[in-house]
Formats: sequence, C-alpha cells, structure tokens
Amino acid sequence: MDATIDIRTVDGNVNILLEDAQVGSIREVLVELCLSTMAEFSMLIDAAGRVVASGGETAAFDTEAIAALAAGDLATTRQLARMLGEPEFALLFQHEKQKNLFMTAVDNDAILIVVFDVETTFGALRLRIRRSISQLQQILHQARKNTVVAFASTSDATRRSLEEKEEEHEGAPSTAAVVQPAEPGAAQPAATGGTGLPEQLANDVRKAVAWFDGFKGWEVMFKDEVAFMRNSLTRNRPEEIENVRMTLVRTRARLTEQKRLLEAKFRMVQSLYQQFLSVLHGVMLKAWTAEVVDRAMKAAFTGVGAEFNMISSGAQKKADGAWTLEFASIGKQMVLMCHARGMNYQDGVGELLRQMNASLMALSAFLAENARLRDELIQGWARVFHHYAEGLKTLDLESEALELFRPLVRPGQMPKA
Amino acid sequence: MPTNFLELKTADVELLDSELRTLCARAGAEAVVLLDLSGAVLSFHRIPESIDVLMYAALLASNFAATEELSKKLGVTDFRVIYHEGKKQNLYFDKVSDETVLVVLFKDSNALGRVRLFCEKSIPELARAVEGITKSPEAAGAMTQGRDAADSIRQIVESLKTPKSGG
Repeated sequence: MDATIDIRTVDGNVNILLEDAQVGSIREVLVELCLSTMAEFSMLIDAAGRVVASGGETAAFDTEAIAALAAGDLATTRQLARMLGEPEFALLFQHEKQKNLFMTAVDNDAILIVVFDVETTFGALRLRIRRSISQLQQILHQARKNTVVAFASTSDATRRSLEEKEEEHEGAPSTAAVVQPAEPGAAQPAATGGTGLPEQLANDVRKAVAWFDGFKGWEVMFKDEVAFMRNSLTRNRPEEIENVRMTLVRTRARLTEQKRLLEAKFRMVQSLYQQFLSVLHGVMLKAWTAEVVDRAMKAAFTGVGAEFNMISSGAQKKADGAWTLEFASIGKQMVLMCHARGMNYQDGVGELLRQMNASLMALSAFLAENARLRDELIQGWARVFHHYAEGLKTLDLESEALELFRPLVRPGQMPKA
Repeated sequence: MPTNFLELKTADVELLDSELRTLCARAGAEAVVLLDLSGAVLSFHRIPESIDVLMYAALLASNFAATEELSKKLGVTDFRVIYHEGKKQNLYFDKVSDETVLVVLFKDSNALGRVRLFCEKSIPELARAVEGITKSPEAAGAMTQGRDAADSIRQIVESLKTPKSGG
C-alpha cells in the first residue's frame, strides 16, 4: 500500500494509513469548505497533534503549534464531556473582532479545525461543516478499511519486525505472555494440579498475574493483591477460594478506576506539555541567532535524564531548522521508563514534569545575559504551570514533583504581565 | 495572569453565591461555577452531586488555559469566550476578570443567546465582586513578599544537582 501520511492515536500508535489520493481528497474537502464559508483556513489533525492536511491561507500561522495545542485542548474537552455524560463536545471560541475557531472530532483520532473571522457567519459554517464532516468521515472510513487489509496482508517477515518494534516500545519483555491467550490444553492440568482453585478461577488468576508481570508499574500499585493471587496458585487452600475470587474482582474494578484517573492526568499533562513547548518556541525564536537557538534547544533536550530522556525522545529538528516535539514519543518513553524501573505511572508523570523543568533551566542558562527573554521564559512557564498546579494537585500528582516548581510560581516572584 | 491572592470572606462568598443564583435562574442554566484560572472554585450553584466539583473545576481551568494559548497562536489578543456544544448539554465559558472565569452548563433546550445575554449582564457585577476580593490589603501585602526569579532558578538548579532516589 502506497501510504504517505498516517493518523495516530493519542498515544502515538498508527491507526489509519492514508494514500496520496486520499490525502488529496481530504485537502479538496478542506479547500472547498474554506471557499464556501469564507473561512480563513481549515485543518485536519490527528489525536497525536500532527497536521494531516490543510486548506486555505495557512501561511501566516504556525499550523504545527496550533495542531499540537488543539489536540491537547480537545483531550481535556473530551475528559470534560465524559464527566458530564456527553459523547463529545464540539468547541468554538469566539472573538467577534478578531478570529474565531471551530474544532470538532471527525473520528476518534481525527480532529477538524476551522479558523474564521468576521466575514464568515457561524450559522452558515455550521450548516456547511456537517457536509464536510460526513465527506471526511467517508474518506477516513475507507482508509481505515484499507489499513486493516494492508496490515493483514503484510508479509510474515514485516509483521514480525513490526511486532518486535511494538515490544520494544512496550519495553516489558514479558508482555508476550499477556498478549498470547493462555493455552487451554497446557494450562488446565496445571490449574487443577495443586492450586486447589476451580479451573476457571485459576486460569483467571494466572492471566491476571501474567498481566501484572508485564506491567511492572501497575504491579507496584497493587503489590499486596498480586502477591496474594500469586500465592493462592501454589498454596492449595480450598477454603480461600471465595477470598481469591473477591480479590480478583476487586482488583479488576480498582484497576479500571485507576486507569481512568490516570487517563485524566495524562490528558492534563499532555495539554501542559504542549503549552510548555509553545512557550519555549515563542521565546527562543526571539533569541539571537539561529545558531544560539539551536545550541540552547539541544542543551535543553539532551541535557536531562541520562537514561530515559522523555523530552529529547520527542524532540526533532526539521529540515527548515525549526524544532518540533511530539507528545506521542514522550508517552511511549514514559511507559518504557515505568516498566524498566518498576515505577508506577504517577512517578512517570512526576519525572516528566521534572525533566521539563530541567529543560527550562538549561534554556534559561543560555538566556542568562538577556534578562528580558529569561523573564519571559520563566513567566510563560509559570503561567502555564500555575494554570495546572491546582488541577494536578486535585488529581493527586506526586507532591514532590510539584514542589520542584513551587519557587517559580510564588506570586511575589513573578514578573508583572 | 493569576498573580494575586484571592481571599474570600463570608460576605464575599454570600455576594458571589447570590449573583450566581440569580444568573442561574435568569439564564435557565443547569449549573454555574465561578473559578480562578488555577482551578480553584470561588463559588458554584446547582452542580450535580455526581460531579466532583474540584476535578470539574480543574479540567475547566485547564481547558480554558489551553484554548487561550491556542487563541494566542491565532493572534487573538483579548480572548474571552469558549462554547462547547454537546448533544444534550452545552458549556459556555466567559472570562470575568484576568484571573476568573464563569462557566455555565445548560441544556440543549435552552438558547445560547439567552445564556450569553444574562452572562454579559452578570459579569460586571461579578467582576466588581472579584476585584474587591483581590484588592484586599492583606492580599496586596502578601504580593510584595518573595525573592527575585534569579534566586529561584539557582535554587532549582541546586536541587536538580542532587537527584532524588527512585527517579
């Protein structure tokens, strides 16, 4: 399959592969939308914050930064919608005299953004946009079908290499045990042989323990439960059956709840991170020569976290010299680190914040001679952080990580806006 | 930018509560919440018990902040309003002051125009009330405390030199 562009989920997995012709059709829909509504420009982006296609006058805007911020924004909007029991929110922000923005999810992982000004009436846009959305959905639906076929027909060798890559990302050597369903033939004799548990329960417990083995981070959080379940497989105590069953059910329920909480936290950190990048970019663009910016950015993204540098894993320099950063790679790196160090994800988020702060410090060292730019950088970060400090606290983020930032955001120290 | 301390006294709380109650009734809203940009709730009215107000406010604040940053990228200098349109419920955000946002949750059967109209009417009152709170003498005194930013950078660099165990 001749695919040039892909659409990724929020954690960076490729979900849809688009052929050149399909990208062309998407672009046509976007251009037509702009022409018929007099909108300034429209973009289709993926949940990982990358631009898939755009139409209209985009030259005056930093579309990549807009896409990254918009993906972060929609992530928190989705969390809000879930909280209120809504399937999805479409977002609109308005400023009568300047720009208005309309943002809506086209697909699980594709987001449509339309930027328009006073020349466009919102009513007309709303009517027209429905048609565009359904056209885009059709294209994506077809592309998704093709993607499934393409993956299915991939030769064994390619598939193996893909799987190896996946494992590498997961970072836990024992994940294979989780992916493979338990072999009933082999497992059953062992199940009845000495566990004292009913076959089905023994299988469930074994699966659960294998799952936890593959995800060290979660094992840390459910240490006692996992140890109890592991022991129950060898202890052969029929009187414990009910206890084991209850532990299994309760652990499963708590795990679901914890995952949901983690997701909310992850979304917030994603949004925080993307705003952080936007601040870095904005300030560094004003700093001296391109060469200095380059050195400073390099220092910021490579100088922190010797083993697992989450920030640098998302940093890339493009051909035109600008630095881009992808949240998806950061997320993967975070998972990798949590697995390798047996940390829980909470600590991973804390580490990410710590690295962001270290990056900021590395950058501000380069700006030491220019007090104005340094203040601007700190002020920007403090502003972004201040917005989130309470939110992260509400979500029980590790207090130690938050304390690191405290000196920067004490009100008296902040330069006046 | 939230640089001021907000210090709520009983009278302030009552004033804000009554403003929100009035707004809620006039606009036919499901729920209203007034929060500061760091996610702290100043006052709320009719938030359903199923919703954790603190988490709700934190998400609202972060959502507003993210959208504000986005608007800056588009060159908007005076960002104020966000509208989230859902299937049955909608959210309307309106900036009250530099540090506070009013968020109204309303049903699809209600008109956005009505919500908007009454929000615009309530906002000057709320802004006055919030301004009174932020300019209290205690808050102004606390503002002058603290050291300069360079000191804090040094502190953090020091703390980073001694990595904590457990990553």
